[in-house]
Amino acid sequence: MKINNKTYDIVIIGGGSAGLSAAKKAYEEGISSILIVERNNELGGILNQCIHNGFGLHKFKKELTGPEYAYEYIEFIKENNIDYFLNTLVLSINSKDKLIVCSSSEEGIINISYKCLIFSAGCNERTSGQIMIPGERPNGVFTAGLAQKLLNIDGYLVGKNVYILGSGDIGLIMARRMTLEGANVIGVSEIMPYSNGLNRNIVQCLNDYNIPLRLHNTVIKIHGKNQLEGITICDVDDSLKPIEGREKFIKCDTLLLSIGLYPFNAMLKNSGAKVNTETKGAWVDQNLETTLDSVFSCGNVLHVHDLVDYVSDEGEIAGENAAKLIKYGRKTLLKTIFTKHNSNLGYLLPNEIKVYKDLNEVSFSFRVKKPISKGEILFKDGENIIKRSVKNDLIPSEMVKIKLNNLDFNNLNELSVEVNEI
Amino acid sequence: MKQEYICIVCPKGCHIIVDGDNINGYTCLRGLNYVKQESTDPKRNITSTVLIEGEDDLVCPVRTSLEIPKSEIFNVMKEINKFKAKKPIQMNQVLIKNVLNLDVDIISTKEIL
Ligand SMILES: Cc1cc2nc3c(=O)[nH]c(=O)nc-3n(C[C@H](O)[C@H](O)[C@H](O)COP(=O)(O)OP(=O)(O)OC[C@H]3O[C@@H](n4cnc5c(N)ncnc54)[C@H](O)[C@@H]3O)c2cc1C
Repeated sequence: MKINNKTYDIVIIGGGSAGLSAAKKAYEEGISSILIVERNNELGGILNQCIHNGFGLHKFKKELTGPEYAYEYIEFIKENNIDYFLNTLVLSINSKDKLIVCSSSEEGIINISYKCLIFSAGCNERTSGQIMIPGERPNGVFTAGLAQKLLNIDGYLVGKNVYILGSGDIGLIMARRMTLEGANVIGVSEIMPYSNGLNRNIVQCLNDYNIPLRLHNTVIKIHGKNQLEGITICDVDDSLKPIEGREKFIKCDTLLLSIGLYPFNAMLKNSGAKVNTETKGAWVDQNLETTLDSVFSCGNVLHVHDLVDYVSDEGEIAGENAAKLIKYGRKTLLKTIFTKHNSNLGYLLPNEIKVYKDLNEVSFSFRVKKPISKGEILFKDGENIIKRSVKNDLIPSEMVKIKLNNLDFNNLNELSVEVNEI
Repeated sequence: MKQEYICIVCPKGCHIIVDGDNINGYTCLRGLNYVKQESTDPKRNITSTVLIEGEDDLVCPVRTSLEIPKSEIFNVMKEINKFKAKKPIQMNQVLIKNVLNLDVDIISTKEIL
């Protein structure tokens, strides 16, 4: 079999918002040898199926739909003749030889060598197998994102009488979307005592259409052999266990699962990159470089985001630092500081700070583990407080981003972030 | 009468309380305008898809060019579902002009060539 070999300065795996903005930024930094590899038949990633509006408030100061947001970047890629391969699946990363192996519908197997690699392959949806709902696995059980793709790209409505498990934004948005298309959305169950979706989505997706949201409630059984016939829902107690006598049967032909996303990081893990056990994405430094030489990670494959604007920002960080590494080579490392956090944070990025001469700015992102109505956020070097801020209404579904600047990182011994309820 | 609204202008979701002419709890001008509109004549943007002539498993995403009254949502959806677009479709092309005489157009949100 003939194997095609190609070489680029920067190779980007995944043409979603993270990969597109990394490509744009690297190009603006003066790198012209860039390739985006995308397994789908178009660029844009998940944005193509997110036809609702609400994108780009931070970055473009206006409300765009997902495809419109993607278009702003895709136009840049096309105008500047940045290369991209569609219908091309990356199979593996060989970080030792700095090449990736792809399978393309047109060219068969291709080896592509890189100087820097940016891994931006997005996330996966959790399925019912992962949360162990007892019962059969009949037709009619879909992840909310798959139902969204089928409806918004292919034009196929997956069911007429719909129940939704999980109150994440995708589930809420699909509740409205299917209602508009004539389906009867019976309700949404959320096992936690609070919703994981944005307030605005509860108002405009559920309340607008009188769709009930049941908190502290979950699906405990799926009925039907070949086709879904119904589900049993049940209230849960504070330890999230079903309460006996509080079961209710609901007749429906479709159950949508909106029960969480996780980074699609397996390929990077298999190639030997260290994993952050809290995010399930890669372990990265402040430049978003992984533990593999010249391999960067950004977007949902690094940690799951709720705002596309932040995904684009992260793509820019990865694109800029990859470009700089190619242009200027690696700077002398003065020291490495591992970041730590207290138990109110679910995770913290970056995992480590590589201190070079003149490093004076680092961006941090984290999520809280449980809702905190008034939180004090502390950045500390040992017992010494470097920065303090106060933030109201911290919730797990909203990522917090904070920049430390004008700080001589070489003077630090440690760095920890604490959130405390006040 | 006291009425509480959750602002949907941005992801912040401020709780705004309207009590006659007294409006409290908003944190920006857009929020104030939203609640004034919402308490008198609620409006929404609608996004959906339209069929494309000659395509079986591809639809084109669309949106309203401006907000429409909430009470017109399902009427506008009927018009959207009746319509078939012809390729090529440009970004933000007007597909249905002045839908139901609401002074609002249905425009594409994707380029499909
Ligand atoms: C269903 C859903 C709804 C959302 N709704 C909103 C919203 O309303 N507002 C908002 O601001 N944000 C929303 N978000 C968040 C935000 O839009 C996304 O997080 C963001 O677009 C993700 O960008 P990404 O580039 O990281 O991932 P993706 O867009 O998923 O891009 C990853 C790309 O990598 C490709 N890929 C994966 N593996 C390979 C491989 N092996 N070889 C080649 N290509 C590969 C995929 O095909 C895909 O195109 C939503 C996210 C999801 C998942």
